[in-house]
Amino acid sequence: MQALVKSSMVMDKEEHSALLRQVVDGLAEVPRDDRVRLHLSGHLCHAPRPELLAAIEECGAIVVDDDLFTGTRYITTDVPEGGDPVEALAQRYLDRDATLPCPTRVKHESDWEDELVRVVEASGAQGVIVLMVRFCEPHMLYYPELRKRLNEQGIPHLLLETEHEGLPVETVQTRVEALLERIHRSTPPHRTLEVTR
Amino acid sequence: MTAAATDKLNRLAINKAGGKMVADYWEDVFLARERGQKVVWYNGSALNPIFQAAGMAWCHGEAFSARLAAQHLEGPAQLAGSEYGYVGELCSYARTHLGAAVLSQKRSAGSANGPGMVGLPEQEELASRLPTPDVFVNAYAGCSTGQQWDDISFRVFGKDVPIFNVSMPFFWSNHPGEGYMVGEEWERSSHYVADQLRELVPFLESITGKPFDWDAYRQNMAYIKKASELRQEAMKLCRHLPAPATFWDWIGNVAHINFLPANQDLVDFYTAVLAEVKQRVADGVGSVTSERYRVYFDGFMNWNHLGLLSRKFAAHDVAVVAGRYTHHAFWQEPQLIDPEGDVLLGQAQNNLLCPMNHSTKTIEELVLRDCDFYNVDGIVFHSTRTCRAFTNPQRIVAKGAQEKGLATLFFEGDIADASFYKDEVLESRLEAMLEGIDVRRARV
Ligand code: SF4
Repeated sequence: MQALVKSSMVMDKEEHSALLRQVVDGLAEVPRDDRVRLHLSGHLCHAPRPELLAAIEECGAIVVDDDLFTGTRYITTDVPEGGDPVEALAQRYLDRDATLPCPTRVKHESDWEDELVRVVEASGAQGVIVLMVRFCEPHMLYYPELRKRLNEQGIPHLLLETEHEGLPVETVQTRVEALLERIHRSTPPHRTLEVTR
Repeated sequence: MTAAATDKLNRLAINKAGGKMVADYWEDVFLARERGQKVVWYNGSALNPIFQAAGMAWCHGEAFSARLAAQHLEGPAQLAGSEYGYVGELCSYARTHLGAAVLSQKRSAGSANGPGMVGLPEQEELASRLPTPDVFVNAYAGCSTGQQWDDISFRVFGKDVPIFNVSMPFFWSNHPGEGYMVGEEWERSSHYVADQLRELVPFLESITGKPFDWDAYRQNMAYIKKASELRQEAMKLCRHLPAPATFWDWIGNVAHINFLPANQDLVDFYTAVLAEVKQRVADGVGSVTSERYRVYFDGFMNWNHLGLLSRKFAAHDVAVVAGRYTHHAFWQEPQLIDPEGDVLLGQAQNNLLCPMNHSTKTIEELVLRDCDFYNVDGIVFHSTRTCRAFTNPQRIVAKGAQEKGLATLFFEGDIADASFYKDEVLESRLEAMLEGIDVRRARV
């Protein structure tokens, strides 16, 4: 997913869309397994390091949804078609902050915590990992509001502070494993067949 | 005995009396609800003359945090903030104030002593004294954290308290002819903010249910203009050798010009400040008993270590004569205020002239201009850990200063979080800097 979105940010759109169609055509339903389903939240302006995502999945989790800038946040809102293209692009920025609220904006149409809980329920994620880039002030300010709501909803979560450079893989894995254990203890494993992506 | 333990600082005597004015102001704020006054929480720009004319009690978030830190009472609020989820790298002004907001909100909801919260005695000391807000007004120049801080307070209070945001443009000075108080950007931004302040007035009227008192507002601004002129004149006298007052004295009376009520008492206070400074100049009395070096201070104040830092520099015979924080904020351009004319414009312009709200080029020009005026040997940069807005331009300014032959020193600390300050680091760097100045002087 990260690779698909990141490449779409830099590639010619037409070329990217053609390739994306091939990827989508190749997707198939797979049986749901026992891996813990997680939602990744945060990283408001740059991509988490691929090693970080790998480290999380190596612990026995699968990321089923996210609101990362280089993930769902980027593709959540379309540019309105027709009309002045520059205005349409501006409109898309404004609309995106309403569809997936961003704490770098001071807007009150919708709230990030509401959206987070809604999508977690929709995806069936069993827990949330909040990826916070160190020194990201808007995220540091907003995080307690997310935490409060996740706690109220009984959704297990973990805050991981990240740096632009370097990654303490072992520490990350220890903390993710502790989260997964917490989830295992509180929820029976799913055996139903569902689509994963 | 360390150098810092010896007090060679001769503080302005008037600041003692000034301390009582500040204590009385807070006492007044804490009792606002009992008087039936509406309470406004605000951050950044000094909008207090407007609130005063609206008949409200005003509580400045940074001032509250600074006061807690200066009194070493910040711990419980910071702990409450941390338990609520604010991480340690968040602006410590914001996180101290938000911690107090959490306590204050819990208390008003009747659950102050809930699990995980700090103990009751500390809460009584802090939160129970900070009246909950009836309204938030945000007008923060030069820092996005400041701009978002009130929005987060608004959320902590369950989004039930009305909020008014004033958008404060940054001075990029990207085009020729643009800079400090000049150019198209300056004109445009000034009017843009003044227009928003005009809209703030009916908003406040809707909160208080009373008409705004324009005559009182004009009078408030006249008092502020006068107080600022007196303060500026006194500050400039510190060019004299030995310096009759220092940065630490201007820190000691910054609250007055920043948020105390605009009235004759304020003017009288700065009249007395100026008189004392003039007397010292006449008598050849210095603020540091044996001034040998003079430096400029760039950075936010380190409120936790105010006493320690002031004694440390004086112990090394260093007069810290001026600083970006004290000299480039707080109504520092009083000539822009026209109490009889477009009074909101002068308010807006002074609010915009915050020391973080300029391009690095402008900041460098202003700092180096001051360094020339006060004839300093060097600049001490307080690398204020959780205030990126103040710290960001410092390396470039330091480079400019070095090119002019000024000594520079960096030390790490913070506005309100004591844990970031390392005394040994500053001590050894300060000694090295002064040695360097001695060597340079010997060569000349
Ligand atoms: S980071 Fe600095 S400028 Fe910004 S709100 Fe905090 S103290 Fe103010």
